Formats: sequence, C-alpha cells, structure tokens
Amino acid sequence: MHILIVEDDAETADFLLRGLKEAGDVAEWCSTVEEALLMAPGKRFDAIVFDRMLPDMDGINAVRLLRQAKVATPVIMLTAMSGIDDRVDGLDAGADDYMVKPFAFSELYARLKALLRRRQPLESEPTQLQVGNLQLDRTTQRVTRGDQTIDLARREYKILELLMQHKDEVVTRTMLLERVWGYGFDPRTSIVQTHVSRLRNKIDKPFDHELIKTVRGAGYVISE
Amino acid sequence: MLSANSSMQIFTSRIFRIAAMWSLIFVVALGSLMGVYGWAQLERAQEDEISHLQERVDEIVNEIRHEGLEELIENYSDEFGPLWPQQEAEYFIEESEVLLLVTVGERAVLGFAQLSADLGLSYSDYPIGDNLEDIVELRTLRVDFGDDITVSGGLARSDEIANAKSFIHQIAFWIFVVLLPLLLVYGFLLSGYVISQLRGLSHSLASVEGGNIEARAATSDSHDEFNQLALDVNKMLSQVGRLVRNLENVSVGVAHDLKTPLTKLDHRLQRIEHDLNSPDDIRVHVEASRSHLQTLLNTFNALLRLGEIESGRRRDQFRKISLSEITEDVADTFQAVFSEQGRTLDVSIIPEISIDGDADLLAQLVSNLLENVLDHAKAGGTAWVRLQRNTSGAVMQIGDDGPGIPAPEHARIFERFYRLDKSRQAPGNGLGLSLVASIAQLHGATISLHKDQPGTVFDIVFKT
Repeated sequence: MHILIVEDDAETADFLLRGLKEAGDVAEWCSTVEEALLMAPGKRFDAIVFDRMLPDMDGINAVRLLRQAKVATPVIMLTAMSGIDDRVDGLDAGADDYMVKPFAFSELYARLKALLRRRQPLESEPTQLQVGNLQLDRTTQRVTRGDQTIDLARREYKILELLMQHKDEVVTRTMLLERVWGYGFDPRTSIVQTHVSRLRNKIDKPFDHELIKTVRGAGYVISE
Repeated sequence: MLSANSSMQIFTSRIFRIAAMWSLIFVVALGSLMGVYGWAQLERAQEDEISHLQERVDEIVNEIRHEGLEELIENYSDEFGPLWPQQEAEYFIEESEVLLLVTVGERAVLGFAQLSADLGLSYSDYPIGDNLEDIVELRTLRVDFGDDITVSGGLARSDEIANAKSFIHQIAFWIFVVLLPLLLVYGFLLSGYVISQLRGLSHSLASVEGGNIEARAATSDSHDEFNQLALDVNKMLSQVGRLVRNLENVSVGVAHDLKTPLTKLDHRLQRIEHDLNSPDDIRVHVEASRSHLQTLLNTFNALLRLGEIESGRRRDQFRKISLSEITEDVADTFQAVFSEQGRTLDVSIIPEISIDGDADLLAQLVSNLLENVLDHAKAGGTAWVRLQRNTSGAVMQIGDDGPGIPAPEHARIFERFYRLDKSRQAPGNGLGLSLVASIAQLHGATISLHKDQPGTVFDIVFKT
C-alpha cells in the first residue's frame, strides 16, 4: 500500500510511518493541509490518513476540498474527539472511515486494509465465502465445514461472515462491535470474546485444524 | 400579622399596584355601564311624563278652539262646578292624572285654582292636604292664546323617575363606597400573600447563596402554583446539590482512578528498565502497561461520553426506535456471558414497544446495567431483564438476587466516580451508572432503585 499521512504531530506521524514500514508498505508524511492538497491528487496514494486538527485548516474542510477537487482516494480521519457529531461530520465531508485517538496501530492497519478491499469494484459481494473447507452461503445463510452443516446463532453467523469477508486480514474487536452489534460504545465486558469463543466451539473445536486465530492485542483473523 | 413596614412594601409592590389599577378600571367600567342604564331609564320616564302632560293640555286647547270656552266649562262642571275642590287634586295626583286650570285674564274659570304655571314647560310647587301643609312638586305646561286665555296642566313627578334616580344613587353607593374598598382590601391581602410566598422562596435561595446548600423552600401538600414553584425550586436546588457533590466526587475520582493506573504504569516502566536484557519479560510488562493505559483511556472516554450526553446534543438525532428490539439484542448478547460465568439471565420482553430515542445510547444503558449486575451480583445467582407496558409508557426492570445496595447509598450511586467499594478495588470506574442516569434523563425516563426488595432492582420508566 502507498499511504499519505497528514498529521501535524511528529510523534504520531512517526508512530504511523514506522508501523506501515514494518508492515512492508510505503508511507509519506506532510503536516499541513496546503502540502496535502498538492500531494494528494492523482492515483499516487492508495489511501490518506487525515488528522482532524491541523494548524492551517480543519481536517473536515480539507477533506471536503479534496472531494471537490475530484480526489477519490479513500480517507481515514483521525480525531481526538469521540462525539458522534464529529463522526457524522467527518463522513459527510467525504471521509470513508473515522478513528478516535489514541488508537492501536493494528486497528488502523486493519481498517486501511478493509477500506482498500471495499474500494475494489469488481469483487462485488460474492454470495459464497470460503476458507479452507469452511463454506458460508450468504443467500441461504448455511454454513458447512467439510460435509457437516453447522448451526450458528444469528450473531455467530454475522461474526463469521465478517471474518470470512476479510479472510487473512485482522478484524479488530472494535470493528466487530461496530459491524456485528452496531455499538458505538465499548462495553467493559468481553462480549466479543465470549461470542467469538462460542463460534469457535462450533466451527473449530470439532475439527483438527483451527481456522480462527486470535491476534494478541488486536483482534481475530480467519485463514487456512 | 404584617408589620407597618411590610404593609408599606405591599402598597409599593408591583402586584398591589396592578391589583389596584385593575380594581379601579373594573369599578369605573361597571359604574359607567350602570350609569348609562340608569340615565336611559330616567330619560324615558321623563319623556313619558311630558307627552302625557302635553296631550292633555292640547286636548283642552282644541276643545276651546272648536267648541268655545263656555261649552268646555259646561262639559267639565257636572259634579263640582267649574272650579274643582282642593281634595280632588290629591286624588288626581295619586292617580297620575293631569291637574288642569283655565284662566281668562287673572280669573280662574275652570279646574284647580291653586295651580300656577310659568309659560311653556316648567316646574312648580302645589300645596295639598287639609291645611295645604304638604307640597308636591309638579311638572307644568302653560299655553296662552287669544283673548287672555291660558290653559295650564300639572303632573306630579312619577315613581319611575324617582326610582331611576334612586337606582343611580344606589349603584354609585355600592360601586364606589362598598365595592371599590373591598377590591382594594382584596388586592392588598392577595399582594401580601404573594409577596410572603415569594419572600419565603427568596429567603431559601439567599440561604443557599450564603453557602447552606441543604436549605430548601417550605412546601405543603397543596396543589397551588406557589407550592409547585417551591417544589420546582427545591428540585433545582437538589440538582445543584447533586452537581456540587458530583464535582467533589469527580475530584476524588480523578485523583484516584487516574492516579492508580498511572502509578502502575510507572512501576511497569521501571521494571522494563530493570529487565532490559530479557525480551520475554519486557513483552509481559508492555502488555500490562497497555492494559493500564487502556483503563485510563476508558475512563476518559466515559467522561467524554457523559459530557456529550449531558450537553443534550444527541437529542437532535432521536427517532422512533424499538426499545423491545434493542433490549432484546443486548440481553441476548449478555446471556452468553452470564451462562459462561455460571449465572442465569432471565429475559422477558414484550415486543413492539417503541420510543423516540437514540439506539446506541439505549443499548449502552442496558449494557451498563447488566455489567453492573456482573460486577456486583453473587456468583451463580439469577438476574433478569424485563420490559413491559404500563399506563404511561413502558417500564424496564433490570435486577438481581445479589447482596443489593444499602439504602443510605441509594441516592448516591448515580454520581460520577461514586463507588460502593471504598477501596476502589472492584472492577469498574464508577461512571457506568452515571452514564445510565444521564441516558435515562436524556430520554425523559426516570430511573429508581427498589427499596424493599432483596438484591439490586432498577426500574426505568419510559414515556412512549
């Protein structure tokens, strides 16, 4: 991935640059909206990480300008505030996702990956998802592993669907809370862990090969 | 009851001036109305009187003109002769008949010789009684025509006119001498009452301003506006008091709940320094450090969310949502956690209860209350979530059969950073129930804790 980071705080920028470099991606950094507007146009970047508070302009207005200039590159907005209004404002202005500081790098990375996948137009929502011998049919909502049909509760099904849509990518706890439960808050109780472990009991435990893996401090990944 | 000083204050008060002004306006309006009515009555009676007099005199004049004076005298002197006796006049007066007199030159030729009248319409006195000692006021009319002949008529003032006059006098008396002072006295007493009520309120407010946060306005069981105002003021004062106590709790809470993870973090950093040569140990310390930081961040997030909720901004995004579905959904999610911990969560929800609200916040309300159960109820116990309709809307009940909360603490559990566990070792940050309370308040719902039931049982009453 080739990522542009627009962030006036050098420490945060460094944290992002290092993380992306370690993951094998290329990242460039600028600290003002002025520079960003010069650098962003064209197809050079796969995604832009935009800070909400920049010295020369509010990040929301900056994203709006980008979109008016027909720059379609996906944007993730970073903010220190967690108000729902800010989130809505950010998405209205044309940002594709929104993250509240402080965040774990793994969370940002997972969201960047998800964003790029979502942008690929040809792969329009397949109805059959497959990981190894695990199959999920989205029209009949039937889940099978090998020749065995597995009965899943509604939420277990949605978790599995999300994991399989992001095969080989980390899906974080927050992403699960947002997309499976639709919660904008973070319960102290480990409801995600509980439900993922129930899902594992059904699709992994009876078989010798585990498909769902825990990524410590980040989330879950499904892979062969 | 009222000192001279406070009487003065009443007289100069705005409410008394308003009452006095309205009393005057009322009295003047009523007086004018009655005056106009009385005057119209009087006018009518006088017109009747004059036309009666006029007709009779005209009749005589016509008879003289057409038949001559002699013929007239002839016609009217059947019984008593041309000049009628004085006693007869009294009878005429009583019957409201016109007294007549016809003179030629200075000589009376027909009628009552005592009648004297000025030319045209006028008034004159007429003596009656055996010795002519009584005087009756007559309205008179005299017509003069050729040959020195005059025809006079006199008519005693009718009762109607006297009645109309006395009516006007009486009305004036009642309105200005009786009603106006009564209204002013009433205005004075009313003003005194209002002022004393307001003064009671302002005393208690002054007392609060002076630092006695527990001072309250006196209230009664009555349903009048002043009592309602006093109750509202007291409610506001309680709210202010809660805020002040909240602030105190926040200081202690911030000092403790933020300092503890920071101290632990500091310890971990020191241990990293110590274990620099052992990557495995460092990994453990880093893991622990992140978890302490997460605790801190969670507290900050909860505080920010509280601020956001209390600002009321999210009310703009309210829309019709199914409280049943949201509750069911959260309860369903937590049921897995309960059963994993060997507890029971009994869910009983009436479907299709809708309210205007924020789905995310309501989910958090249920979630926080269930987390409270997980934190404080006894292991292996039973908890329940119920949602039912009641007369005004819906009532949600979330309860457990655990040790419960001691009654003296009931009023304080919704305060920020308030912890039952004074050592602050139990899980949680003391903000969960504050969030619940603000979410309920934002939705116009009331939350209460059952007093006489074992365990902890919350009732949240929504208006639908």
